[in-house]
Amino acid sequence: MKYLLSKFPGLTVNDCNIESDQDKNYNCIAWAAEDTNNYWWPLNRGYWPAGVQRELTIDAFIAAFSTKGYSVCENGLYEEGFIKIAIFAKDDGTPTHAARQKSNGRWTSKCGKYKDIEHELDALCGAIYGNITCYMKKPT
Amino acid sequence: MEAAKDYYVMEHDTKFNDLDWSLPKIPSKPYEYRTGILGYQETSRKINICEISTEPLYAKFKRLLNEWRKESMLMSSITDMVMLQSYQTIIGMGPAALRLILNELKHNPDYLFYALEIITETNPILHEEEGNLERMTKAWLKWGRREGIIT
Repeated sequence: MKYLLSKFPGLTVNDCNIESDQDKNYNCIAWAAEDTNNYWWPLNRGYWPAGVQRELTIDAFIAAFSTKGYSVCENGLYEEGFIKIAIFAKDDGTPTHAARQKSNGRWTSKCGKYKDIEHELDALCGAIYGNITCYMKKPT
Repeated sequence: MEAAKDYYVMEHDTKFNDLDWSLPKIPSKPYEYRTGILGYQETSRKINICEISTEPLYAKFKRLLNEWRKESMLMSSITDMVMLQSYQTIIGMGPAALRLILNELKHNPDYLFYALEIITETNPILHEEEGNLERMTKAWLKWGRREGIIT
């Protein structure tokens, strides 16, 4: 926990729960897509859904999540009957991270090769993951 | 122990023949050549590495690997991970690092496949194995055994 708090100034002890052990088999993109068997990344021999362009753009990430039934939506507010995801990117538009909303309205993230955490969405914005650039949702 | 200084990589390519590839002044201490490096040096088709360092190869690899693991822990981007200086330096160790990387994969699989791919200029990972750490590791270990680099 101390490690995460030092890396993400937006996280606080009260707002962050660690939900898994460290696991290198999947990353945040895979976790958002509910796949714990593959490391999702469009380049460098990562897993990427068939037919989706392998490039580091928000459009490619939107297309990747579309294969899981998601479509772009306006915000990350909790809506009964929907699962939402948020895609983070650096200022230059390069995607860095994705988080998935849980049924309690809070968000879950896999932090790289580290652990899954439950957190407030904005808490991961900053130097490491940049900012949220897109929301998507699908019916539960 | 003095830190590693430099690796001088000399491509056997005519375009480099006119360059001055002479080594810097030899230090008073004798070089610490190791048979493993020289052994691979002799069989390498493209790269000849002259190591001028007092840090043992394995120690250097482990130091860089630990640095890389620490720096990349929160990264989801493989692209960012492999661009870290520590990872690039492992790639820069060239064929001498192959056995070390493959042995590391045996015991502690990690995303070292890009380094292997760049050093060897080959890719034994099938398309359907991409992204699966266990299957990619197995593919590279199989390749390493077939090439006689690891047992």
